[in-house]
Amino acid sequence: MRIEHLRLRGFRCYAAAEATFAPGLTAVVGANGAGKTSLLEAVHFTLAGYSPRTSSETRCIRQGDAFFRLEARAVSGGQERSTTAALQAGEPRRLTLDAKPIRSVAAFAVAFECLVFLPERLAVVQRAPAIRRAYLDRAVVRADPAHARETAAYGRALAQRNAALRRVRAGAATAASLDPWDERLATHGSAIIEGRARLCAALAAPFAEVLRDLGGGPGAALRYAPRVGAAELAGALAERRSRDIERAVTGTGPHLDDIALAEGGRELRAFGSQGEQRTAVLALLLAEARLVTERLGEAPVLLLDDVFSELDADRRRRLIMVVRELGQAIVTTTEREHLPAPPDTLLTVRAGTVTMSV
Amino acid sequence: MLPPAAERLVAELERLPGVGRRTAQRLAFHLLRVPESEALNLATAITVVRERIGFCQECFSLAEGDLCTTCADPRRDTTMICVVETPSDVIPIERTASYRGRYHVLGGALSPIDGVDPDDLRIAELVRRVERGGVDEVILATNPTMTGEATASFVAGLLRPHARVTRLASGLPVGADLEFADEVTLGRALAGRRDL
Ligand SMILES: Nc1ncnc2c1ncn2[C@@H]1O[C@H](COP(=O)(O)OP(=O)(O)OP(=O)(O)O)[C@@H](O)[C@H]1O
Ligand SMILES: [Mg+2]
Ligand SMILES: [Zn+2]
Repeated sequence: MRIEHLRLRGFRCYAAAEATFAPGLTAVVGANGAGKTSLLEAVHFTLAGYSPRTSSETRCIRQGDAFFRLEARAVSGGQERSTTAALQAGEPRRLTLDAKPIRSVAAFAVAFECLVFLPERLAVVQRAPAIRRAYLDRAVVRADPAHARETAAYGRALAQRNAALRRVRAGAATAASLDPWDERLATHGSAIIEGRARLCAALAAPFAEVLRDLGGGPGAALRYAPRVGAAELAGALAERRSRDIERAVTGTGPHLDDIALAEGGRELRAFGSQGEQRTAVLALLLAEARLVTERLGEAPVLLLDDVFSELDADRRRRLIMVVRELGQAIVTTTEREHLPAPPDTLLTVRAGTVTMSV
Repeated sequence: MLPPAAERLVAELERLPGVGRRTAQRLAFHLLRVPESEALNLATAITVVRERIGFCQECFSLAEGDLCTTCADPRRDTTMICVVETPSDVIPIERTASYRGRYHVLGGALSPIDGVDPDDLRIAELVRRVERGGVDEVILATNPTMTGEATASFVAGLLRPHARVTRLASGLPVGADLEFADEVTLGRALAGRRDL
C-alpha cells in the first residue's frame, strides 16, 4: 500500500501545496513549526478519513480559509485509488473514494491501512493503564472492525450497571434489577477480553523481535493478564455484587485491565529510559505493521513523526532498516543529519511550501 | 414577551418529546395563523383521543374500551404472547402478517441511567398473565439495543419457570428500533426465533 501524491488546500499552514512520495522511504525535513506534522496529518486524513492529532478537526482548516480540501492518489491491492477529504466549519467532513462519496470513516478505512506514530503516543508506555487499554482496543478493532461494537456496548453496559448500583444502594431498586446488566456486562466483557488476548498473543513475538531489531535489550515482553478471564467474568461480577453495591461502582472487569510492557525483565513504564520507552512504542507500532502485512499480504503506510529525537545514532540506523523492510514510510525530522542514510525522496518544508530535493 | 395565553401554549408544546423552545414557538404561531376551525380540530382530536383511548387492561396496547382489538379478537391464539417495548412496536409485527398470538406492551425498556427500574415497566403484570396459565410461549421482541437486550434477559429470567421463552432471531440491525424494521426482515426474525 502506498500514497503517491497529495494535494493540499487550506490545510493547517498550507494555503496550497503538493507533495510526491517515494514507494520506499520519504523524509520530511524542516524547522520547528515548518509544517512537518501537518503534512503527515494530511496524509493520514486522506488514507484513514480522520485526523490522528485532534478530534476538533475544524482546527485543521487554515486560519482565514473557509475550508480545507485534500486530494490523494494512492495504490492499494495493486490498484490505483483516488481519495479526497474536505471540511468546512459547521459541516460534516466529506470523504470520497474513487470519486464516490463515502459516509462513514469505517467504510473509508477498509481501502487503506496506515499506522501513525506521533510523539504524544509515548503516553502509551508512560502514562496510566487507561491509555494502554484504549490503544490496545483500537488495535483490536483495526484487526477486526466488527469488534468496535463490543467495545461500545461494554461501555454502555458498564454505565448502566453503575447507575443500577447507585439505585440499589439508594433503595430505589432491588438487587435483582442488577441481573440483566451483569449478564450484558459479562457477554460484552468476555468478547473484549478474548479480543485483547488474541491480539496480544499475536503481537508478543513480533514485538520482542522488533524491539531487538531496534536495539533494545533481550527479555522484551508484552503481556495481557486480565484480572478476570473471559469465562470467569460472570462469576466474578456475582461475587463482587455486595461490595459493588456498597461502593456503587463496578470493581472488576476488562475496564480495569492493564497491559504489561517490559524489557530485560523490567516494567518499561516505571524503569524505562526516554529512548527505551520511545523504542518500545515504535516496536509496538511496527509489530502491528507486521501483523497487518501478514493479514493483507501488503504493508501498511507508516507515518512516523519526529521519531529520531531521543534515539542514538545506532538506534536511528536500526529503525530505518526495520522500516525500509516493511514498505512505504514517511518520516519527519528537524535535522537532516539525523537521517542515517539518504532517503528515496527528501521533502523540505518551509513556511507552507513543500519542495522536493534529490 | 408573549401574551400569557400564547405563552401557556408555547410552554405546553415545549413539553412534547423532541420539541424545544424554538419549535414550540413556531408551532404556536402556526396555530394562531391558521383558520380557527383547523386549530380547534387539533384540540378536539386530543380531547377525543384522551377520552376514548386508554391502555388495554390485558396487554397494555392502546385500546378504545377495556380491550384492544387483538385481545378482543377470538381468533387470535391465546397460547402465545409477544412482548414489545411500546405500543408502536406492535404495528410492524402485525404488518408481517405471520404472527397470530397476543401481545404484551412493557411501556419501555430497563435503563437505570434514565431511572427506569423493573417496577416502572409492566413486568409484574406480564408474569401474572403467564402464571395464570394457558400460555405456551412468550416471544421477547424488545429492541435489539443495549436496553432492549437487558430487558429481554431480565424478563426471561422471571418467565422461564412458567413458559417457553424465545427471542427474535438476530439479523435485525443491531441498535435499531423494531419500529423501523421492514416486514420481510422482521418476519424472518420471527420465524427464526431461538430459545432463551
Ligand atoms: N489552522 C491553522 N492555520 C494556520 N496555521 C496553523 C494552523 N494550525 C497550525 N498552524 C501552524 O502551522 C505550523 C506548522 O505546524 P506543524 O505542527 O506542522 O509544525 P512541525 O513542522 O511539525 O513543527 P515541530 O518540529 O515543532 O513539530 C505551525 O506554525 C502552526 O502554528
Ligand atoms: Mg511536529
Ligand atoms: Zn390487548
